[in-house]
Parts: sequence; C-alpha cells; structure tokens
Amino acid sequence: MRNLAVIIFTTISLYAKVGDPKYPVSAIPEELKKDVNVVIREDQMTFTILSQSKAMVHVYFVATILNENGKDYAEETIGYDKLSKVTMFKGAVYDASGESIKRIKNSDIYDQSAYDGFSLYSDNRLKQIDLSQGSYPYTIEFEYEIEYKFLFSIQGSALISQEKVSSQHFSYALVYPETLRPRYKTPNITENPTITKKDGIETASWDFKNLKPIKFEPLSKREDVVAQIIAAPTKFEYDSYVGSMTTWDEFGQWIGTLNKDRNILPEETKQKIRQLTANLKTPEEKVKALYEYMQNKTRYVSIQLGIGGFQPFEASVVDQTGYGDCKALSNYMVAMLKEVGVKANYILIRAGEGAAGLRKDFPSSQFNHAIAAVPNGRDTLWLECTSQTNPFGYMGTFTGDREALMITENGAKVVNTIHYSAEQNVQSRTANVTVQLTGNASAKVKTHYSGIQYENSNLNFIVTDQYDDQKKWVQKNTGIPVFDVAAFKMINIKDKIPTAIVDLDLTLNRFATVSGKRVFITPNLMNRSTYIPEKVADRKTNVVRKMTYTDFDTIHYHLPEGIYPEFLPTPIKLKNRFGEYEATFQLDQDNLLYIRKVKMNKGEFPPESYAELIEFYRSMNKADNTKIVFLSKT
Amino acid sequence: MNKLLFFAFMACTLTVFGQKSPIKFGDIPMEDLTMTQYDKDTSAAAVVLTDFGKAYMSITSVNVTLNYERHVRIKILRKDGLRAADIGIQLYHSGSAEEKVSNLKAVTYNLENGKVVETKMDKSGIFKEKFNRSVNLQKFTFPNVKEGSVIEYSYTIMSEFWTNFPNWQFQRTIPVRHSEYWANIPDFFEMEKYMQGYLAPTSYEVKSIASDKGHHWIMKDVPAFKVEPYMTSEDDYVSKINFALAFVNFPGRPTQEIMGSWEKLTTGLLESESFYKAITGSNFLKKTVEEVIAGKTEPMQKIEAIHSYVKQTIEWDGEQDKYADNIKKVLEVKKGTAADINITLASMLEKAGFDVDMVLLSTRSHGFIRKSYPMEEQLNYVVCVVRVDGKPIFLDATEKYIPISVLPERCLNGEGLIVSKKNSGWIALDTKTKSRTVYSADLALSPDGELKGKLNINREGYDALEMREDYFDDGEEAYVKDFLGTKANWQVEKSEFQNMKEIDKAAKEIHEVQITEHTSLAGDVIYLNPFVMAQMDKNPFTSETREYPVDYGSIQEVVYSCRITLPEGFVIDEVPKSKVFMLPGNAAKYLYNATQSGNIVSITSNFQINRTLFVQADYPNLREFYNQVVAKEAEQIVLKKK
Repeated sequence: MRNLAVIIFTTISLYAKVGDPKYPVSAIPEELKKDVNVVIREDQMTFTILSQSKAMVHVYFVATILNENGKDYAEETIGYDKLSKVTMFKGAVYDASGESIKRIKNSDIYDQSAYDGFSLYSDNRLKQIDLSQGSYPYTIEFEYEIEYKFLFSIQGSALISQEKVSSQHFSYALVYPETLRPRYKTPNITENPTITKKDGIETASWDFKNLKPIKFEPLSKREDVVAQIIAAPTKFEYDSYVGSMTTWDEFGQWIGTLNKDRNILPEETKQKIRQLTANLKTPEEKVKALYEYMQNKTRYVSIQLGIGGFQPFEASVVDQTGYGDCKALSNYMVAMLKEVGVKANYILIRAGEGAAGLRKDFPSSQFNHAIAAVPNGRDTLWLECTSQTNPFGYMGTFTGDREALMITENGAKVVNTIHYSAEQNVQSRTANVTVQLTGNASAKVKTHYSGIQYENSNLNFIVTDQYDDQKKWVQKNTGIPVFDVAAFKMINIKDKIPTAIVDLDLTLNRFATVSGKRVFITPNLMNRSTYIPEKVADRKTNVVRKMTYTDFDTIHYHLPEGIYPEFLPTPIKLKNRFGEYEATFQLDQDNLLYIRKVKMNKGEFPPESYAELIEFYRSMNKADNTKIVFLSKT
Repeated sequence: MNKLLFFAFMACTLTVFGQKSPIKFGDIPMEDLTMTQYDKDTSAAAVVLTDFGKAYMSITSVNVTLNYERHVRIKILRKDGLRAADIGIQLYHSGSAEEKVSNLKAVTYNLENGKVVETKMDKSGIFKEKFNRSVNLQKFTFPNVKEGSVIEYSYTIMSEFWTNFPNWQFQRTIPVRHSEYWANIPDFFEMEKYMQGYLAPTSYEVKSIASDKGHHWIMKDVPAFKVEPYMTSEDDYVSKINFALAFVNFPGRPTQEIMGSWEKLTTGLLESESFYKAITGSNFLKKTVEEVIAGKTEPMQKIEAIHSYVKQTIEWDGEQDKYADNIKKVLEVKKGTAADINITLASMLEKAGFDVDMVLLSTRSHGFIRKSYPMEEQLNYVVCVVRVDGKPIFLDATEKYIPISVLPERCLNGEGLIVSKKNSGWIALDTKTKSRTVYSADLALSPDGELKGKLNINREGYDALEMREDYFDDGEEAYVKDFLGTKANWQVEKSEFQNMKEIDKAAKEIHEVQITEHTSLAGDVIYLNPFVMAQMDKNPFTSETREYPVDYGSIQEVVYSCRITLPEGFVIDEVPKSKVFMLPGNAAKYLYNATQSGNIVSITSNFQINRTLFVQADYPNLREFYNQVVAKEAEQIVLKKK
C-alpha cells in the first residue's frame, strides 16, 4: 500500500514536470529550415457560414521562429467591433525542445482601440498577444475564434505570404449550408478542393504539406507570387441589409439600397446651388462650380461605426456639419449634381499608390474608398471629394489609372479611372547658370511639374502649404551638393491636368571644381538618376512599371572668360523598351548648353527584360555624371 | 501617484474670483472674422487668437479636487489649418478614479454675406474613446469649419489626481496671439515652478486670493514652434511653465513631502524592491554567476563574462525604464526593459563581489535634467558603473554588440545620478567613445580606366556598434548586398569580415573589388576622383539658419585614404592640393593630403567633429565647414599619356 502510493506520486510528479513536448524543433525536416526565418508548423483555418447573417472563423496557428527577423510571427492581433465577438483567444510558447515556457492568461491580452491614424472615431477594437522571446528558436501557438453577426466578406488564407518562411502544414476549409454556397478563387493554386457533404452542410477544403519559401522580385506584382484562397458569399446580410454578390450588378444594388434616400438636400442649399450654377453654360462649368463649393464648405472627417463602414451619412448631415468621410462626401457631391441636372455616379475604388488591382471576375468587397464621377465617355469627370485642395478633375497616384466600380441605377459596372500619358506627366526645367572663374556660380531655375509629376515628393500638398514647409521642400528636393536658396516662388495651376511651377534663385558656392589649372563642371545641374534596380539571378516574374513620364532639362551655362574645353563629351543616346534617354552638350564661346530628355514607359514586360532595365538605369546614371573639363588659358 | 487620506476635521472651501477669461464666449470681434492672414506670421495656416487656462483646487472636508478650466479661440486661415478643428483631450484614470470633462461647449462662427452664422457642436460630434489602460480620449470636432472660420471651445476638467498640477504650454505649432494662465496655488501647497524655452512672458504677477496665491502669466504674440533635425527632444525647447509639488502643509497635519530631494530619492531607491533590493537580493543568481565566471581570475575578465552573459540571455524590448520587474521572471521570458536588464546585470556583478553603482539618467529623447527640481520623472533610464582600480567603467547590456565601458548613444545626455550604498552625487555620462571609421583603399588603375584592388574598412565605437547590428541582424550575404547598394559599377570578388564577434575590437571588413566607370577617359587624359566611396557629396545642412542647437551625441571621425598605382605609360598632370581647415577651438577639423612618388598617388582625408554640441551661433560656420569638405572631396586627379 505504501509502495503503491509512492509510485503513483512519482508518476504524477514526473508527468506534471515533463508534460508532452510539443512541436520540438527537431521534428522539422532539414530542407524546410534552410535559409528561412520562420517555419510554420500548423496553419489551420475554418470559416463557417452559419446562416445568411451569421458566420464564424476558427484559427489554429503554430510557428517556430528561428531568428530575430521572424519576430512578427510571435505577435497575433485580432480586430473586432460591435458586430463581431472574440469568443476564444489562447496562446502558448515552447522552447526548442518543445517544453512549455508560458501560457497566456486573459490579463496578458492587450485590448485597445484600433486607431488607424486618420479616423476621428471608429468602433473597431483589437486584441493582441505578444509571445516574443529573447532567445531563439522558439515555437508559438495561437488559437482563436471570432463570431460574426453578419455575413459580408469571408476571411481567406494565403499558403505563405512572406519571404523566408516555409510551412509544414496548411489547411483551409469553408463550411456552409448548400443554399448559401460561397464562391472562391485560388490564384497560383491548381489543386481542386476536397468537397464533402453531410446533412445539407458542405465543406470545401484544401490541404498542403511541406511548402517551400516564396520570393518577391523587385518591380513585380505580389499577386503573381502568393498562392491563396479568396472567397466571397453569394447571399448575405449585414446589419439587416440583405443582398447578393454573384455579379457586380447585384453588389451594386446592395450598395444602392444602403445609399437610398440619403441624397436629400435642405431646400435652402438646393436654392443656393441652383443660383450658383444658373448662369453657367456647360455641364463641366457647373460641375466645377459645385466641386469647388464642396471643397470650400466641407472637410474630411472619418467616422466608422457598424454599417457606417459601408453606408454614407445623409447628404443633409454633411450639409449641416460640413464634414464627412469619403462615402458621405461623394454621396453629397452626387446629390448636389443631381439637383442641378447633372447626372453623376457614386464609385467604389481601391485607393493608394501601388494598390493591388481589382479582381474584376470576382465580385466581392474589395474597396477602401469612394469617389464620384460625371460619366461622359473619354471626357468623364472624376471627382475626389475628400480633399480641399485637389484640382478639379485631377486623379493622381491615389485613385487614378485603375479599375473601379461605378454604382448605377440598376446595379454597377467596372470602369477605368483616368490615366495620363508620358506627354502629360512632365517635369520640364530651364535654368540659367552663371559660373565664375573661382568656381562659384548663381542659378535661376524654373521647373514645371505636371500631371502625376505634380505629386513629386508631395509637391501637390506643399504647393498649398505655408512658406516654411515650402522652403523645407526646396531644401530637400534640390539635388545640388552645395546650395543657398536666395529666393523661391511656387505657383499652383489647378487645371484638370495640374501644374506646379517652382522658381528658384540659387547661390552655388564652389559649384565648379577648380583644381590647379582645370575647372570641372557636371552639366546635369539637378536631375541625376541614382536608382539602379537590384540584380536578380534567374528572374521569374514579369517586370511591372506603373508610371510613364517625361523629364526635360535645358541648362544654359554662362562660363567665365579665360577657359577653354579640354574634354567635351559627345551626345549620349539610349533607347530600349523601357524608355529613351538623350543628353547633348553644345559649346559656343562662353556658353554651354546642356539638354537632357528622358521618357520612361509603363507596362508589364517579360522576366528576361529585367537585365535591360538594369542596363538602362546604369547607363543613365553614368551619363548623368558626365563631366566637362576646362583648362584655364593662363 | 501620492494619494492622501482625507480628514473630516478640515472643511475649507475656496472661492475663486476675478480671474476670468479675457474674452467672452460668443463675442467675436469683426476684425477676427474678416482676417485673411495673421500679420505677425503671414504664412500661418491657423492662429490661436486666445488660449486661456485656469487651474485651482476645491477642498472640502472629504476630498481635494483639481479644477482646470480652458477657453480657446482659433482662427482658421487656410485649408491646411483645418486640422486645428479636431480636438482631443487626454483624461487620465487609475482604479475607479477618473478625470472628468464638464461644460464642454464648441461653436463655429462663419461670416456669410456680412452676417455672423453660428453653428453649435451637437452630441454627434463628441466621442469618448478608451485609448489604453490609463488614458481615455475625449475627442470632438467642429461642425461647418472652412477657411476663414473662427472656432471657440471651453471646458472644465475635474480631477482627483491633485498632485499633478497642470503645466501650461505657451507655444504651439501654430502661432498664438494671446496666451494666459492662472495657477491658483493654495498657501499650504509648496509648489516649485520653472519656465523653459526661448521666450519670456509678457507679464507675470502674483495675487493673494483668500488662502491662495494666484500666479498669472500672459504671453503675447507667441511664434509657432518649429521642429528641426538633430534636436535632443522637442519638449526641451518649447516655451512652457512646469509645476512640481514639493510639500503640502494641511493645517493641523504634519508636512507631507511630495517632491523631496535627490538624496531622498536615492534613499527611496536603496529601499525599493524593484531597485536596489532587487540587486542585493535575487540570491538565485549565485549559481549562474559562479558558472559564468568559473576559471576567470582578473576583475575585467569577470565583468566581461557577466556583461556578455546578460546581453546574450535577455533581449531588450525597447522600453526605457528605471524600475525592474521580478528578475526571476525576466530571466524566464528572456526579455525585458532597460531596467530589467541592467538591474539583472548589477545583481550578477554584486554576486561576483563587485561594488556596483547604479546611475540614473535621462535619455536624449527624454530631455535635459533640471537638477534644481529633484523629481523622479526627470529620470527614465538606469545603467551600471563598477570601479576597477578606481576607474569607473560604465555598463549597459541592452545592445547585443556593445562592449564594456560604452554606453548606447541614447544615454549620452549630460550627467547621471549615482545610487549606491557607497557613492552618491552626479557623474558625467561621457565614456570618451567616438564614432570612427577608417577606409583604406589600395587600387591599381588600368589604361582603360578600370580600378582593381583591396578596400579595408575599420570601424570603431558607435560606428562599429551600428555595423555589427546590421551585419548580425541581416546576415553576411544581405550585408554585402546592402553595401553594394547602388554601386552598379562595382564587382566584389571576395569579402572578408574580421573581429565581428570580438566586440571590444574594431570591426573590420575587407573587400576585393573591381570598379569600372569610376573614371572619365578623354583621348590621352584620365580624370579620376580618388574617393571610390565615403565621399561627402552633399551638405546635410541645407537650411541657411538654425533655431536650436546641433547635437551630435558623440565625437565623429572619418578617415579615407587611398593609394592608386598608375598604369604603365601615364604620368600625373594634376593632383588636388593638400589642405587643412578647422573651426575655432578645433571643434571641427578637416585634413586633405595628397602625395605622389613614382607611379603611386596617395590621398588621405580626415574629417573630425571634435565637439558634440554646436549652438545656433556656431551654425553658419559649421555649415560652411561642410561646404568646404564637399568641394574638396569633389576634386579630381588628372593623368596624361606620356
């Protein structure tokens, strides 16, 4: 009896002490550990559609973090709001041999307002667990479940989304009643899902083992590389608004329901805007007058609460408070235009420079911004309604040149927003530089920045900013080794293709390098190309260039008397599928004329063209650093 | 936070009078409504017309309440000034006590067809948001604001946290026309106060009101505050009045000390379980210490072993702090704040038989220490000092690649307070560590302008620390890739790294390189800039004037020397002239030396910043110094065919 007690006691204590080692590092196949920061051990996600207005997601995720660069994986953040609830959130961390280091208690979960940096108020909140450790490797384990009181979007999953990450096991399952079968798309995945059925509930699942790391190449599209499952519902309900999204028309009809009767303006405003536009002849003049009226009256304030994430405030509220978010301001603009007999549409778009393109063949919620447009074929007017300073009709890097969804009376249609040509995106500079024998110089420079180049280094904001900020811009963006700004001026020309003009009056001490009997001048005054794309062995993805533009530099140098050229370079010409470059050097008595022209093309080019792109930039860099050498006559 | 228990016998209510806002709510002068630009600063996007504040205590038999009234009127001049219409008030809370806002009023005034149109903010414009565990945000935004609007708001905060007397900031990022503050301090409160910044108040007076002293500041035409690069901390320069509660002498009660003295603070820290007791306690560390120093006999060896153990074992989480968490826990999760790490380090040193002094300091981003205000809040970081042969050795184990006797750059900020049983007072946080890099190139030039040879880079002090961080964080392959960066005309045949793990030695890298297109060829002439790298090709100081000092942190030195062997058949036509120039008192110095012998040209340049702080008056000289360096390093060597 006594013996037995001892034995039982020992067993228990042993058991409690050792536990079951979980996910030891030794269990990872060698090939998956090579040259990676993180090995995903388990990545399991199940998204369950419970009804038209209810869903849940369950995630189980385990990863071994091999070094400091994989630290991001030790932190998990989940967002929620009034329409969703985190029903479970657990975390644990294990050392290399799989011994438990720590389990997360509720008090370790950090809960705070999801401040996005620009919303004045939103009900989005987040919960966060940080399991990062000081020594490597270690393994983290997370599990959570979120319940949604709506069905609108479906959380998808990427097999691997970052570089230097491999995975031992990935699975994703969609569970749904047959009547609510969602749609899905699987970019860069060729395998079909396994479908099982039971009692009217269907499951589509994907399962992959031992996945190798992925690599993103410079100037490539992420979506060409990442294998992922994206899904969207057919019939859905959000905050009691019912809809369907198998086609863009259906999606548009739902948005139409949300916007319904939100375009009513107060009588007083109606009169005011009718008066304002009464004497204007063309529709464009009217649109311009109302656009500027709106810019002066309103400002952008983001407030996102529940359905308010998708539904604009009423036009009358914007009219009264003078503020709103992108949806509210665009809806207000459309309402005002309607009042004066101009037909305009509300448009959903994915904004941001370099934002991923619209998946046109997959109607679903893919948008983060709203704008307005007055359709008229090629002369369609595009209106960004959240800016007080944006030139009328201009649509730049934020929303230009991409597909967007125009909401129409009967539904919606995919449209292309405006794009500008190389001849419209122009930086054109003329300068007069007077050089003295000491090497000191003075320069008067005038530069026009048009089209997309109006946004160079945020010039579009700076041009309406205060003097000090403008001066800082000039100091930062004048590419000359040593300069003093004697005076400067900025002029804003708010045409549909806007232009900013920057006039500079510069003092350039020791501009020319004078050493002994020689004087060296680099004739490219302030537009030297320095970017050279990184070398990539065995390029696989297409080369993507998103912007087309032209730069002109015409620089007149007035040289001092008493020097003559020792070395005058010959003209330089470059041309390939990416662009054209030309630089000439003409000397006439005491005058040197330098002319440079660069035109870059946009488009998608085959992977093998990448070497040509590097060569183009390399040659341009060399050409831009060309020097002219003078000897002094004495 | 000091919390007083209150006493029933005292029933004293203070009434405050005669300290009204200089403006009447809603009474907007026409010239402010019609104003299109602010004449004192025509570039201003918005101007604070009036900023009025008043802080006073209400004391009853049961509690003390701190009241803070605010009345602000702002003119929006331009569109980029619209953001002045989004207001956030931070409200502190702790336990069940919370600061509360009352009487919040906000009105927008616009001039429409010569008539003043008022728009009141309604509730839909007000949001209360939990920001984090101790702060809530009361946010609100004005309706109907546009260019030309005048906006006005007022509110009162009631707070139980009465030892936190509100400071007053006169200066903002937009100009302020009239700033006025009443601080009513009860006579039984001993309040220290100090002004900071470069501006003086227009008027200051003290009035007795009942048993209060009313301190009254007015500052007129306050210019906008502008942030410049190389400033230690914005908080150091903005014009502000700060309060520090020293004592309270409630009638019939013993004096309660709030602020104390540096000595008192030291005593407190020596008694604290999260500070000195954590060092002398934590006996579980004994065994580890024995293991770590096993076989080591010299004190320096022991210190190095312990320092290295702590650095390798505990990762810094980036938090600056002066109190440690439970050390046992810290060692379990292997991660902690600066205090967790350096107090663990101190405890281990103590177990190894060393006398350790703790040094409390204020990091560069935390601002200057004002010694006459002995407040704990001024200090935010702690490091250790041990003395070997009477010489102090600074130790900090937050950075993995930092050697002993070196403090991280963030600590180089004046003096630190010594806390230990044996020593006290202040110690200069100067470890004489430089930022120094020496480049030396030995290159052969071919007749077609190609350079080939070896490039050595030796880094010491903070330069080495930074380099090691990049090297170990990214790995050697990525480091070399990064080193090549945009040097598209470089081929690196081979790279070698030395002393990377011997952190007390210089970090060395050696690259075998081939450089094309660095030279210009023209007929019989070759032009060549001797700087194949590390050329100062742009002056970092582009602004002509400077409003605040330039602070480098540490002394800087960059040496570039190269030896170029000329190709057969070429002779030197010109080499740059040797040159030396410096700033007064050797604050900065530049040497450029060129020599030739036979077919070899040697160039050496040496760039030194020998003082860490340059005041505004030094700025034009410093900027010109850089100008001259840029010009000198652009010079070329010219070779000609024989």
